[in-house]
Amino acid sequence: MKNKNTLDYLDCCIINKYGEPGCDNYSIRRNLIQKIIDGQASEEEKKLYNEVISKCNNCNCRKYCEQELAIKNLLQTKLDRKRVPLDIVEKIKTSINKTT
Amino acid sequence: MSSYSEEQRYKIFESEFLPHIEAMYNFAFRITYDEDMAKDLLQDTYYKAFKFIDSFHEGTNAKAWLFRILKNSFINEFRKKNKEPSMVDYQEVETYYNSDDVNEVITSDLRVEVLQDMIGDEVSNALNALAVDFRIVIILCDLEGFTYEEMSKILDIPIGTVRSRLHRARNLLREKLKTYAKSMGFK
Repeated sequence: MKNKNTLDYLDCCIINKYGEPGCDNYSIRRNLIQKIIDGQASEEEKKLYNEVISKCNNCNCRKYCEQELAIKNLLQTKLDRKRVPLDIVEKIKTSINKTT
Repeated sequence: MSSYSEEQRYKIFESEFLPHIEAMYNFAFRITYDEDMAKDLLQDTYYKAFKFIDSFHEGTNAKAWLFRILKNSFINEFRKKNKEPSMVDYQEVETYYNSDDVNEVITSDLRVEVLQDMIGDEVSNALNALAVDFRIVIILCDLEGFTYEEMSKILDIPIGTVRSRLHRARNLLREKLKTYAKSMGFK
């Protein structure tokens, strides 16, 4: 019997515990996907992702990963960075000079 | 704790703290959604950073240290003044995170092409509609690029909680974007 806490449990698109098609042990896989999305996966985790989930065309986990990446990209590209008001640095320096 | 000379204090302030002012201001604005309050919060944070500079170790992660001060100022002082209640049901978050709900992905489906057509204002509105604790994790991770470990230190919560909160925040954001997409006629 496979240990649910080890990464070799990441068989994709198997029949789940309710007897329906889908990804079993989803929370472990979700953990891995989150690390991939955020660029914080180890080399071993990246390898597992590439060997299992990324090759599964109809996988819900894969679709989920694509959506998450799209949302992350959306946040990074569509939100304007506000410029710091010009006077603020001087105000900060004045306030700290008063403390010394 | 270090003990810096007056000259060293100003040097650290100029070379390690001030370069992060734009990121700090954007963080302050995104959590307050008010320019004046963001400016006050920024000034207050830098004032505190200088005052307690001896507890900062030169060469360590100044950005994370400053963000932590800003977040604490916001939680302890600014949010109290505005009496904004915390909207996050943490029990719900933990229960959600530990579940094996395979249907989650299916019900949250949103086409990637639809997302690409969205404009900045709608993305901004969706982000601002999130409870502030959820907004904060998204800003720290997706906009400022902090690692889970850094976020854990900034927010004073375990890494597991960072990740569960981030997961929940992204799902909520996805739902808000999905609602917007539907209102615009996307299917």
